[in-house]
Amino acid sequence: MKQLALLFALIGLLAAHDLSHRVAEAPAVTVTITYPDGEPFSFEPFTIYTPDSDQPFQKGVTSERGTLAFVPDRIGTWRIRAAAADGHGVMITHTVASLNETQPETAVLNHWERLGIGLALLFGLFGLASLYIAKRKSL
Amino acid sequence: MRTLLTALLALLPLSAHDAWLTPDGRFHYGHLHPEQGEAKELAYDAAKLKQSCLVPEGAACLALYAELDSGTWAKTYDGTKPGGRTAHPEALKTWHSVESVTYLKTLSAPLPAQGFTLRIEGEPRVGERLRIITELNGKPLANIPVAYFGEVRGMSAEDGHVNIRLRQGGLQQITATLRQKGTVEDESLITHTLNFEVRP
Repeated sequence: MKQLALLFALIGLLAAHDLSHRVAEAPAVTVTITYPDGEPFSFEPFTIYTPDSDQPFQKGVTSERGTLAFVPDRIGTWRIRAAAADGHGVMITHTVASLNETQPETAVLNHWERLGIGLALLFGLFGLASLYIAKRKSL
Repeated sequence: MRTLLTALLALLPLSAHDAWLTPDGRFHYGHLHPEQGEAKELAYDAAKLKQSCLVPEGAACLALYAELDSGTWAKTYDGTKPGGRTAHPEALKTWHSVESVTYLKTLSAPLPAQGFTLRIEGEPRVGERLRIITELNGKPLANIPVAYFGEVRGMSAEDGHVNIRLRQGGLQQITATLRQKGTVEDESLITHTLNFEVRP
């Protein structure tokens, strides 16, 4: 029993730095920001606010091409603020009228799901082996 | 295969802080028409501001001029940082930025043919088209984006002209930026603003 508890504790420690992820092709809003002469507003910070809060929903940095993207999770008017240290900036509003269904492209199991499957396999194999040994003994 | 549905918003041009002059000769820096959360006036280094009369006529001044050196800047992977190539040798690009403003007290004031200027033709009224000429040392400049109250309205043609319809009376704000190859920094940027009044 002690060994089993130790095993769980060890697995718990290993999982502390683990992250699960899911890759999906979701409907996204992309925004491209340029200087008046068309030069991209690249590598500059931006903040996105939901329609109903002044707390940031997303923070990030524009791409090399001055583009940012986000996946809205509610309808309403979203606000995007991007500004550089030299005073160039823009406040954009974008109204999301409806939400398209997001479907996962590939789903990767999280560590608890992987742990459950692993333990089920172990117990299953152990059970089969026990049954086999018990049967051999009874013969 | 599911496609990534992308709502591509129009390419959104940026605006910098505004610089403008009022008839009393005062220089202002900030947001001419501030939006929510924006301050109208922003602090600037007064030691870097130069002001003069561009077109004197006796004791009067037909056109005021102000120039603010905004210093050197660097585009890095971590955004725009103050300081030029010396401070940021790894920068993707560096530039020196200057903001200049001309306030026409008289629309027909003969502007000197020196530096980067915006010249207007005629005496337009609200609702009419205004012809603006972008010039460098008196010679027309092509492909310069010209903005009206921060909104780009067109690029200058080969003869340097851009037509803009005046939508409102009062103080007018026309801005253009000239990019040139720099000497110490990669680029030299001059953002020039033309101010004048039109009766509502």
